[in-house]
Amino acid sequence: MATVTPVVGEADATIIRESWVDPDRFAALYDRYATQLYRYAYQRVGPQVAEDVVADTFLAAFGQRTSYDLARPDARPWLFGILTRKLARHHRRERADYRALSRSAPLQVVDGPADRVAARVTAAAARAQLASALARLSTPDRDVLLLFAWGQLRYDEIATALQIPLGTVRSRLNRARRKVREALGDVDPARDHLADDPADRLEDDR
Amino acid sequence: MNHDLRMLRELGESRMPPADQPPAELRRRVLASALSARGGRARPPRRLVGARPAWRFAAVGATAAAVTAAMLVGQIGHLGESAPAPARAGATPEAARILQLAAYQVTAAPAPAARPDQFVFVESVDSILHIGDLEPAKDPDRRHLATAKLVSQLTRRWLSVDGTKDDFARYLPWRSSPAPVEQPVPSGGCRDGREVIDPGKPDVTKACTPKPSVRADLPTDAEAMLRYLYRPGDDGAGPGYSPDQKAFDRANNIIEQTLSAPAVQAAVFRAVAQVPGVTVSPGTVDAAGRRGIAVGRTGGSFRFELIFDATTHKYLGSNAAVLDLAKFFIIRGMKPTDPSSQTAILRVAIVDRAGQLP
Repeated sequence: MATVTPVVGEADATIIRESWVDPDRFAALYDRYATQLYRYAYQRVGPQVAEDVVADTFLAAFGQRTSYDLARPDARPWLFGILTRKLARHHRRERADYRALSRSAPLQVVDGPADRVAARVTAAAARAQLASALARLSTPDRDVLLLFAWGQLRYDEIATALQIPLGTVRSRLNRARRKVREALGDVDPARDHLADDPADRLEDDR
Repeated sequence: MNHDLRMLRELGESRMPPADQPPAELRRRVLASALSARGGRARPPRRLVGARPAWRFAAVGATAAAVTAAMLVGQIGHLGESAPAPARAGATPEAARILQLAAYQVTAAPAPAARPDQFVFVESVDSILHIGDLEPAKDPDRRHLATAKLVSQLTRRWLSVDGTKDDFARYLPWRSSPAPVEQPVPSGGCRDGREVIDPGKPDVTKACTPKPSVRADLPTDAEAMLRYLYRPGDDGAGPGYSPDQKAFDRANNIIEQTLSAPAVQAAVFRAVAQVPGVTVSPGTVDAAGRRGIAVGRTGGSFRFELIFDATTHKYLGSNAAVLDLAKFFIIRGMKPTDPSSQTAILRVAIVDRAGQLP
């Protein structure tokens, strides 16, 4: 499972502030976050594009470093926000990738005892359904869902990263999860209530 | 109940990169690209002059490309000198003589009178090496092919005398260089004990003490200045600097910050005459194309030079060169000793308003 690098030593904000006048300090920020940003980008768009978007993300961050809000010690949401915007250019590719996954997964030939084959085929079929659901999600919903599930950002960090209200994070996440569960065939009416929380609707900007 | 999230995380696991770390090449690419013009531009630091820790940032409001030397320091800092300073031998006699003459020259005229509410106007030409068109070379050292050119701008700065008003700067084209794309915003003023942190957010302030541009806190005698140049701390320069190189580096920063304080400048020149390893290079050209005589010091990967008029010994400006660029780049059209950043001082004057020319 992906682990979150704890902030040890200096706060990110301190490093960023120092990098205003001493740009080589920015390398410290790269060393602190490149691994998790790359991993997340790799999961979403694959190896080639991942390198490009991570490079673009750090270059954009470097260019914007003087407008960083120094009151935020932790730069992780800021960097994931930039990365999300860089990934937006590749949504078509990402979707095509999920669609391809949804088509290919159930066709994998599995050898072995019949019960295990059945289990694997079921799992593969479920994965295909999941990939298909991801391909159909709206981009904002998918961003929130994957920042949560793969990027391991908290709700408040997602709100900061995407510059949206916390309620919007919750409503997008609920909607995305409901669609995923529907695709997987396990609709849970109790949980679906959450998506209809009036507070969420009020804060939803979409 | 969290079946969906579990499935999703499994899918995520199956899409993980094979290695824990991103490719090493990516780090190199990011840091190298930040050097090239594509790297985006930073707005100038809050305090237009005082905040510069070292003269490798020759241009105020340097573009990302302009910070070549600075970025490289991060990668090559350990290559610098590390031996402690030898017993004090001082600059070569020829260098010491030029520095003494420069000290006489700068104090020959009285210090310009400045009221607290006025501005110090400084006009300079700042040149910086842009390294661009990077492409990986088929090279055992994994260097990049690059083209390099020296890009110049005319910089006009207005610095609040007592530090309570915003500093202001204007960047203009210089000779064949294109017009600078980035314009700084007024910043740095400490009014009633509060200063704006981000010019984009004028409502957000923090406590401050005014930083006068005419600094009264610096020594005016050579021995005290020498102690000041050798004070502890590395100024963020990294571990690669020897104490002597650091002293020389600091000397240049002080000169740039005290252009309207001749007594301080004279103390700096006399102190530098006592720094070991300082030598003379004749026939040095400054950023404005003026030929002079340079007093310089090489340490680690850098050579820093103070340039003086060969006849009057008036201070003209400074050059800095990164001597081991070839470790990272195969650069077309550049000698290893060519300067990577330059500053030439054209005019210094006291004016009443920011933006006013003398």
